[in-house]
Amino acid sequence: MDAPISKMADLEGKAYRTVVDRYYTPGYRTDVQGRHREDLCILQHSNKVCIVTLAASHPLMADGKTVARVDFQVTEKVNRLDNKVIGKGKRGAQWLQESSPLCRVTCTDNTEFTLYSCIKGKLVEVNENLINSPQLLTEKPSSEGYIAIVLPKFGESDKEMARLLSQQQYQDALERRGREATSEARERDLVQARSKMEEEESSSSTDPGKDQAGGSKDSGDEPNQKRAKLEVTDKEQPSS
Amino acid sequence: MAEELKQLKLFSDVAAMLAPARSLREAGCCPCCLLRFLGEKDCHIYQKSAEELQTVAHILCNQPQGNADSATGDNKCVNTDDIPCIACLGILQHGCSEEFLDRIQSKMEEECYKSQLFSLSLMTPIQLLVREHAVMLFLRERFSDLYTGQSIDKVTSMKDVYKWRCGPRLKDKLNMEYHHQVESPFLIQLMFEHKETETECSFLISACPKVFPTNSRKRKRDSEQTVLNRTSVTRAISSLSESKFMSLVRCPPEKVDTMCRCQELTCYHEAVFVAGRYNKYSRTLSQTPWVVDGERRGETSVSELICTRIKAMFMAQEYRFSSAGREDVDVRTLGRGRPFLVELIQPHISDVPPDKMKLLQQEINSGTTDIAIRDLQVVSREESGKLKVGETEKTKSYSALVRVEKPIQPDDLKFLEEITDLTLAQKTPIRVIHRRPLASRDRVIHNMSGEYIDSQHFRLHLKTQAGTYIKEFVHGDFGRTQPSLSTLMHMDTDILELDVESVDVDWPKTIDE
Ligand SMILES: [Zn+2]
Repeated sequence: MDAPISKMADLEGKAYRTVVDRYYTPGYRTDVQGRHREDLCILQHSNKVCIVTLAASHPLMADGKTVARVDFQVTEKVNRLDNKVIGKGKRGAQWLQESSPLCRVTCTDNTEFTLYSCIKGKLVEVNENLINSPQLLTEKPSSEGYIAIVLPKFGESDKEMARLLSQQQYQDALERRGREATSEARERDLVQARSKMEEEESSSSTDPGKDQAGGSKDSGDEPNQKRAKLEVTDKEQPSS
Repeated sequence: MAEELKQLKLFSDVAAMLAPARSLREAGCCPCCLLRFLGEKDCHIYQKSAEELQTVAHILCNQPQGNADSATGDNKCVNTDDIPCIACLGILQHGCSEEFLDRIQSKMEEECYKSQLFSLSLMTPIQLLVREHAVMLFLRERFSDLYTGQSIDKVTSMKDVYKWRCGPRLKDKLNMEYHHQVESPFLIQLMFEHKETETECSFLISACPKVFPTNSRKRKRDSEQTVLNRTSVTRAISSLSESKFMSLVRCPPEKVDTMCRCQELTCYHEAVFVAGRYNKYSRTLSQTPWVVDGERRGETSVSELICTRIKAMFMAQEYRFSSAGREDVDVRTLGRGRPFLVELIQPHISDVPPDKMKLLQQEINSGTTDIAIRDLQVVSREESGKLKVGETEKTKSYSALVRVEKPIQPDDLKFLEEITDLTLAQKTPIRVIHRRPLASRDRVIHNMSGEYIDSQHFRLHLKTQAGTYIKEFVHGDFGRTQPSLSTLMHMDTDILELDVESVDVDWPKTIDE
């Protein structure tokens, strides 16, 4: 048997990197389909296979929502559970566009979200475990709670990834979003203060995003500002 | 009657066969072809020396000195063999000569071919089919009483005569075994060609439109070569009536001034299989050459470290490496190692004795610290098939260095030992999903145990059914292996290192060090 002591020395020498850190490169899409803060993260394996996952800044996570139901019947005709792939080439797979919906998510507060592919390719599988364990989606977003596995056309995976935001660009986008949210909030406060002064009647100043703050997760790379409105960043809209 | 003639067993009494013998001689048959067409079938007759055969032919033809039938066919002197025989075009003459066999020998030495046993294969020009048929028709017409019912099938084939004559002599020259009719993995193929092949056969194309349909006839001359082959010529000849054939071809066939030439001597050796077991001690060495987008990654690989020297020793053209399963680049293989098989394609040397194999093994092992091999041996083709037999029934033992998310106590690992024959449902791992079909397979973990290292690490020992994806069992592969170590321990688990401790296959046989 090998001496564990020397092994340990080796272990402590380098910082631990998770499976995702070791084998996957992340790419992000913010405000998917123009929906504010609905961010997704695509994990590209070194073999070019892509995994669609929830980004930490998605309202489902950022707002601490509880997922009640995940439905793969995305349109009247299309059910992602019907996807069947044959052979190495994954023949017969449903073909996904960036804007193709993968599933609909319903939360305990009755809010609904649709999660999209964000990447072109063959649908290899959707995570069927989400049907019986919908909470995995937010509890283990980058492992057991993945949404789907997508295989881009041979040789196109990197191109697809290049269309997404890198880790750094994503951080920057979140910061921008945060800043704008702060200034907007300040403006809003100002307006509110003014209207309060004018009349007591206005009761509809509720901002769902704001009310649900506080359900923060322990995820390390989450930005400080995660609840905010951002009307820009629609420029990434697919034009297909 | 002369002593020499008493040994002959011809189609009829030797006395009765003297006339056809004379005719064949006049037509220009060499002694071997003469005897063939007279019905001689005994290999020992044909194994006589060229001079002895000349003598037999002479006496048989009853041609005393001075008869001027043919310019050189008049006595025992050697140059009779210089006139191309009308039936074999010299294959049983020059082709069987000492000089030609010496050429074969030197070519074999040049290319270092070495085998225990060889066999011979002859490729002959197709106009010999026409010529032999013409000789037969001539005999049938001229000596109908002797040759009725005889056909070319009753005549000893030229190839058999060639092998009888040359096989034993080459055996001595090459120092390899030879048995007529015994197939050897080592084949010496002689390709005899004659420059008049096309001219002599092309008449068949117009004579036999059924065999050579118009559309192929329409093609240019250069395609005649592709149209005329052994099968089509045989069919064409049999489609023609005897009289038609005799009206088209001179019977007996005309004499020619050049003999067949053997331009090509090709040696084929069937694949030789070498088996053994290997250990892999490196975590950066791939099992086979690792190529990404046409670019080589890593300087070498297990298969290259093993095979390069084996290939050189057997002087093979190429090799194919296979093994009982395979490990990833970052996985070591310890214990008694993993069985492997090397198929050597076109080896020049096939009999490497055990002591040389031992030296070869030592050489391979002293050349690297990344791998080591044992039990290196030559195995038969049948033996080689055992590598892949019962692939899924085999068991393998592993040890994995596991990192846990939450601190553990040594006691937290005890429950693992109570788990036996745990069936996993493993979906095709994401890391290989791009090159394998998507499927869910059941694999069994026979037993497990945990060896505590510290609060965050332990060593997991496990014995599993072959084909179990260990890494995926430990980290769960996005929940795609169920259950996984994570689900069993109710926390995230990750695998930092993996070693194969044993591949439980009883093959190949152990060789004492
Ligand atoms: Zn001859």
